[in-house]
Amino acid sequence: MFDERAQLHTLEGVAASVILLIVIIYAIDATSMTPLTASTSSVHIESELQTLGQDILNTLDYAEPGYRSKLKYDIMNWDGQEYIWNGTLYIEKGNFSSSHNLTNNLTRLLKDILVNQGIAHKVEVVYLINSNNITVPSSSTDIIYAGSPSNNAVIVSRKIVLQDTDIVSTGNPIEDIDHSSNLRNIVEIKLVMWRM
Amino acid sequence: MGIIQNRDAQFMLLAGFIIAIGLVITTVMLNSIIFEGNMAVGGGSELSKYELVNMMQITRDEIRNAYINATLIGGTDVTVNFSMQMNNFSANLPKMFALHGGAVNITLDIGNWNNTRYANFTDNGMPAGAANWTVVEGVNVSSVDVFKFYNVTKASGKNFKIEARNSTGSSVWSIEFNDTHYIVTNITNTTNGSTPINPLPNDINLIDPIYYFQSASSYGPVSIQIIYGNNSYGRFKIQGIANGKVFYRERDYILNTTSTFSTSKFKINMTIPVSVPR
Repeated sequence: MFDERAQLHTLEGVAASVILLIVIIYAIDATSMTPLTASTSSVHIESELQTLGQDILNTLDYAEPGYRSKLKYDIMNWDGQEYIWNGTLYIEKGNFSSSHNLTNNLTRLLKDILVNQGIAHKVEVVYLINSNNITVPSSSTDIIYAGSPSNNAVIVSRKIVLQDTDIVSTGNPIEDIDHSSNLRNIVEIKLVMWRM
Repeated sequence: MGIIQNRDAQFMLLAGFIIAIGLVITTVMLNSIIFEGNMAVGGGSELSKYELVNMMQITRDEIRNAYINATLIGGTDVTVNFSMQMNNFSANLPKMFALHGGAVNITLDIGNWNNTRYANFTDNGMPAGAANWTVVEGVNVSSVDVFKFYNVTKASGKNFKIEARNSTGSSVWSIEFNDTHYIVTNITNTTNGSTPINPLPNDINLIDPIYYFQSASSYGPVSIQIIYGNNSYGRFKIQGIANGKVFYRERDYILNTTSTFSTSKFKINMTIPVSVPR
C-alpha cells in the first residue's frame, strides 16, 4: 500500500518544532536582558559612555602654555591611597571613620557627571617602575574603587608625562625612573565606567 | 464517481511554509553576522583614534619641557641635554603603549635648532602657515612686561605688522615695518612714530615707550595679532596677564617630530611641527 500521510506528518512535525524553537529562543533573549547584560543592544550605551569618558579626560587634561593640566595636578597630589564613593564623598578605603577624603578636580567632575547619572566608575593608574634595573609598567593601582565592573564596562585612558619639577605628594608611589634627565615618569590614567 | 484523494496541495503548502521559515532564519543570521562584523571593525579602530591624539600631545609637551629644561641649564651641552631627555622618553613611551598591543617609535629632527634656522611668524611657524593670526586674546595691556621680537629678518619689499585689537575687533595700536621705516598707529589714527630703520633692528622691544604700545591700555582687553607673518622670521616672546591669568607665548624654533604608531592591523607615520619653547 502506497500512502504519503507518514511523510506529511513528519514534515508537519519538523515545521512545528522549528516554530517552537524560534519562539523559545526569542522568549529567552527578550527576558534575560538586564542592565548588566553585555549584548548587541548595549553597544549604543557603551559608545555613549566612551564619548562621555573621553570628554571628561580631555577637559581635565587641557592646559594653557606654561601651566599644568588639572589631571596632572591631581596625579601629582595623589597620596597613594585608595578611595571609595560613600554616597556623598570619596572616602579612604578601610578608614571610614576618618574625615580624610579625596576632593580634587577629577572627583568634582566625576561627582557632577557620573554620580548624577548613576554611572558606576573607578579610576586606575599605571606607571613605570624600575624592577631589577629594567623599566617596566606597573600593575594597575586603584585611586577610586567601586567594585568589579560588569561585562559591558567601558575603559577610557589618558597618558601624561611627569617631570622632575612636578613634585609629587608624600605617599605617591610614582617614582623617578630616569635620574639622568628631567623626565620623571609616564603615567596612564584609566577611567572605567559601567551602568548599574 | 469517487472522491479523488490527492495530497500534492498539502505538500506544496508545507514546502512553501518551510522555505519561508528558512528565509527568515537566514536573514536573521546574515544580519547578525554583518552587525558583529561592523562592531569588530569599529572596536579595532576606536582605540587608536584617541591613542594617536594622546601620543601626539604628550610628545609635543615632552619636547617643549625638554627644550625649556635644557635651555635653563644652558652651557655648551644644551642640545645634548635635550637629546638625552628625549631619548629617555622615546625609550620608555613604547612600554606604556605595548600594554594595549600598539608599537610606538618617535624620532626627532632638531636641524632647525642646530643650524639656527628661526621660524616664520606664522600661526604654526611654517612658511605656509596662516600669515594673519591671533597670538593671544583678552590681554591687559598695562600688565604686559615682555613683548619682544628677536633675530628678526624681513623679506625685502614686504611688510610685517603687529597689531592690538579691542573686543570689537577694531585696531587700537599697531606697528608696521617696511624696508625703510617703522610706523606706529594708535586709535586716533595719528602716526606716533615713523622713525627710519634700515635695516630692521634684530631685537625689537615693544615695551619701549618709543613704540607707544602702552597707549592702548585705556581701551580694555586687547587681542595681539600678527599680520603678514609669512614675510618675516625670527623669535618672539610675549608675557603678561590675559583674562586674569599670567600667559606665556614664546617661539624660538620649529622642531619636527615623526611618530610611528602600529598595531597588527595598521601602521601610521605622522610628522608634526612643534613650536618651542611653548
